[in-house]
Amino acid sequence: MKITIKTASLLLLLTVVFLSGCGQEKAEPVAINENTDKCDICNMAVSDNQFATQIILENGKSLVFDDIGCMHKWLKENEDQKVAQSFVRDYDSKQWIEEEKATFVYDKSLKTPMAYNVISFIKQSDAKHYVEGNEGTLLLTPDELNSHTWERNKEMMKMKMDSHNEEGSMEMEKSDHTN
Amino acid sequence: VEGRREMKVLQSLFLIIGLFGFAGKEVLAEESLQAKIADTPVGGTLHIAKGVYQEPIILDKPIFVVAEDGVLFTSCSNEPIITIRGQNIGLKNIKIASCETDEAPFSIQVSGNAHKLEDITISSSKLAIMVDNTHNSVFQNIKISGEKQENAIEVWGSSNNTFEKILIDHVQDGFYAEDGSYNKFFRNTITDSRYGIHVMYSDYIVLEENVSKRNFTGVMIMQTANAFIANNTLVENNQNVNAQGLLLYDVHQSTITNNTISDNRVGLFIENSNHNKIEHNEVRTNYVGVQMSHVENNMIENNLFISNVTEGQAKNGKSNLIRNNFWDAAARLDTDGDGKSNLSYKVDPYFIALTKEVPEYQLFFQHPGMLLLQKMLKSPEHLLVSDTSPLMEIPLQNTTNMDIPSNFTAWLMSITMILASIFILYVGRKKL
Repeated sequence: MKITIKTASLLLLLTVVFLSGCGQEKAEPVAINENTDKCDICNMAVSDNQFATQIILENGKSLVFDDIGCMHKWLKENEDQKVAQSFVRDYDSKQWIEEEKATFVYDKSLKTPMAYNVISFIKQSDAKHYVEGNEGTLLLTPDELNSHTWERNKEMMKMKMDSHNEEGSMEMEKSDHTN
Repeated sequence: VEGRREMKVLQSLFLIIGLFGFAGKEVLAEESLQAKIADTPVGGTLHIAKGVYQEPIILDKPIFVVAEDGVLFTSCSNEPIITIRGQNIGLKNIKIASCETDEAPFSIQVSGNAHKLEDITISSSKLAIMVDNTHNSVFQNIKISGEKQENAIEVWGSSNNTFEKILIDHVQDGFYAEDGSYNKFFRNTITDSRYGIHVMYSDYIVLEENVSKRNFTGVMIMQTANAFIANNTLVENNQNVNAQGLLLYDVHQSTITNNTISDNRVGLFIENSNHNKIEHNEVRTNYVGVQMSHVENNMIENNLFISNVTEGQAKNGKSNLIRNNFWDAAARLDTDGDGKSNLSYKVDPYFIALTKEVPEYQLFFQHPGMLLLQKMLKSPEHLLVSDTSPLMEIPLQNTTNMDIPSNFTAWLMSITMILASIFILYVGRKKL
């Protein structure tokens, strides 16, 4: 009799554990549909490339972004929303990866859709390899990314261009224009 | 004997000279285009003879290159077929087509200062013209056809350029301009593409009299200040669930005036944009006339919003001066006879908030149940974007564009009809 109660208790426990496990379904990234997906922040169409990122909310809704900078802007503006998981893509293979498991590189010479110029890698070694091969780049861990300023290189370039134009057209005559 | 010997020597000499001369001619006939460019003096003109050319060329000194009719460049390598750098280079009357082995990222690459490219036709699945670090240059009468894979013209870090009378179809973005300023786009036509004109991080740009038709988005302006957008025709941009006529995102101190924005999914889409002047635009027969969110201190005056399925959706508007617009859907009442309604017209944020969460709810637009809910769940007054004095009638200068027959024609037709009726009655009665 005792054994039966013990067995029953064990079964009950296992059932509870099993059921609770079922409730916590792992959030999976959804595929990008270039025809219909638009960035939740900047409204641009999201290309199915290595710069696309996404957030899965706890209610199962998926939000897609064309640039990791847009995703972080959304996170900042929507702190009250319940995020199940954020995903980024490997720069080389375009494979989705949980954001906290990726390694990031800031490369101001890169052309990302919204000019935040941050890319992500599944393997830290790949990120290091990229940094070694490209001057002026910076390796960022997920923690460092959270304190990243997200300044856009283009904004600085734009300011530079403005001051350049105000200086007059004399400068324009030079053929070896550098910005 | 000596005379004979001399003769022989002379003959040999003539033969040798003749041979050399002939060989020289042959070299000249097969001279590469690049060699001809090298031979053209600074300020000179190089005429390219009719024919098909596969040789990628580089123009890097101030010359004018003009092709005869029937000149075709076929891009078959991994280099741009024409590279222009330096200053004061002219290029005219060129046709370019891609061949199967084309691996070049773009057909024409331009950098430098004060160039002029005109009468050019490009047919390619790749980017047609890359304009990088280019200033004070003119691009005129260009025709580009793509395969919806790449942009037609990209403009990076360039300023004071003019793009005029350029016809573009079946590409990604007709124009993609980034990091530039003082660039002008006049009388261009972009059809059946993703975005007609897409501008980012570029200030003091001018867009006038362009036509953007059947694209996902007619004109998309982002992170830009001091733009001047006037007299453009943005129509039938409804090929996508996210389509719109004119999208302004993060746009400031800009003027948007006298544009015709009709038959788009959303006519005017304005977000995160402040201190703009939006006036005298005609926003007609769009699914949503105007959609605004996070807009502050904008002046929206004397626009016409006619026959749109939903006139407007707006949320988080602050300190905007919105007045004297004509809203088809507004309930209007003028007690003092000034031509302006005493009732303000409120653009409700209800639908925009609802469809942002669940886009599928767009199916319920104009459903009586939704309208009832909208009335019940009133949004707070301070969040509403509202026109304080909507116009009672469409201003006269606009009615002339609406194909309404003039009074004279109407009178003439009426009199003719009456006379005809009297005549028929008179003749008919006599017969009886």
